[in-house]
Amino acid sequence: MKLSQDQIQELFRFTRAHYVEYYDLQLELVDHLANGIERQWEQNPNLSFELAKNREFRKFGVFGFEDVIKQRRKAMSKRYWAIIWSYFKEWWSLPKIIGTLAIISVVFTFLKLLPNGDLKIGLVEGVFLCFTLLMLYRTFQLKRHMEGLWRKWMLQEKIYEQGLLVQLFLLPMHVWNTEWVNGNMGDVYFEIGLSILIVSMGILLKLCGFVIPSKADELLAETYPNIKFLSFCNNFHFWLTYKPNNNIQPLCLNDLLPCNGNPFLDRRTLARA
Amino acid sequence: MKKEYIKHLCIRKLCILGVRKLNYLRIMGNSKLFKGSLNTIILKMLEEEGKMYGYEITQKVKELTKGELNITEGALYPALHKLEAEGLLDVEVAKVDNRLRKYYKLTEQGEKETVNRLAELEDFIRSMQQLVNPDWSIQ
Repeated sequence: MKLSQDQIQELFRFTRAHYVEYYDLQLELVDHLANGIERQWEQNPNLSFELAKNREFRKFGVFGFEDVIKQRRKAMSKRYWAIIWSYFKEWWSLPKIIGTLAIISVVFTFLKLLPNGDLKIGLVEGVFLCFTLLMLYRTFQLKRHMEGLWRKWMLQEKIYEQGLLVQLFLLPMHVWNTEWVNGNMGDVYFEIGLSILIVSMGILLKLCGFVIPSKADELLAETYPNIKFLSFCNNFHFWLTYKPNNNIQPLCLNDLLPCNGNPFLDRRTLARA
Repeated sequence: MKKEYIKHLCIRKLCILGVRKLNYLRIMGNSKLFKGSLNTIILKMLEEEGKMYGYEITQKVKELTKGELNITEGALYPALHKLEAEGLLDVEVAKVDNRLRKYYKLTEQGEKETVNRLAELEDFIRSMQQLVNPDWSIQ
């Protein structure tokens, strides 16, 4: 006996109710539960769906899906850092190295020209503050975009929250107005270090805040071969067909995805539809 | 009243920790000895079968060991995701029945790693055998 489409949807709802927000994990867990339930039905065809589902869920242990989610998050963080690293390596082509060095020297000259004192300290702090604010703004902007999405992917969330780099960006502000910094302000090596820090923060901001999020779909497509179709289904086709009031279910092209009766709509998405 | 509440909280915390510990011990069913070999078992399975999905792996292991070894779900998926993040496994999604199924298969790097890990495991088994059952005879 096979599970019906409604029962599959019920399993999606079930994983969602157990705090599995991400579609990539939901897919896998739903398939696992479905296989388990079908296996139970082979042995005992009279078993109710609910009972079979709960028995299957119990096999995940007292903490349910918690460990799976935790490990998945770790794995995706690792992947995200690998992505940043690969983009960072790509960055160092010859013209970009020359460009970066030029910017570093411009920043350095600027720092050198400024008289030591409050103005200099204030300006550099202002730059840090701008970076942090820009990063925060970008994080909120991307988060908003994510909220409107129908299906969430864990890697996508990592990309959109930019590995929570904001925390890293706040770091220089904490150590800024200390005696050590004030005392070293006129030192050449300190100024070189400072200009390298400012430029590399700028590069990181560009990579994490703009370059990688703009390629999110491509990166997801690498991770999940069906994603191109999925994201199409996610946004475009879904808007075309979903009508919340008259119970018409959205249909996916070729019926590749079990996306009718979508249980994960948040209010925002519904309002837009 | 407050003391009792704190005591209650402490006991609860300890219970949770205990249960978590038990849960992990159950990971490899019957013996702690298997625990460190879970990744190697998964890699070996995938080397033999080509591509497999999560449920299939648990069933296959159960079948091969005649029910002796039971990989629990709470341990299998974290292990699979870790191997995927390390770049040893590749993922493929296919539609089966009325749902999507995620298949895992070895990457090139994964194939190399499987050979290494199996050799390591064999060495370990050989050393253990010599320790537990030494051959004293003079040839």
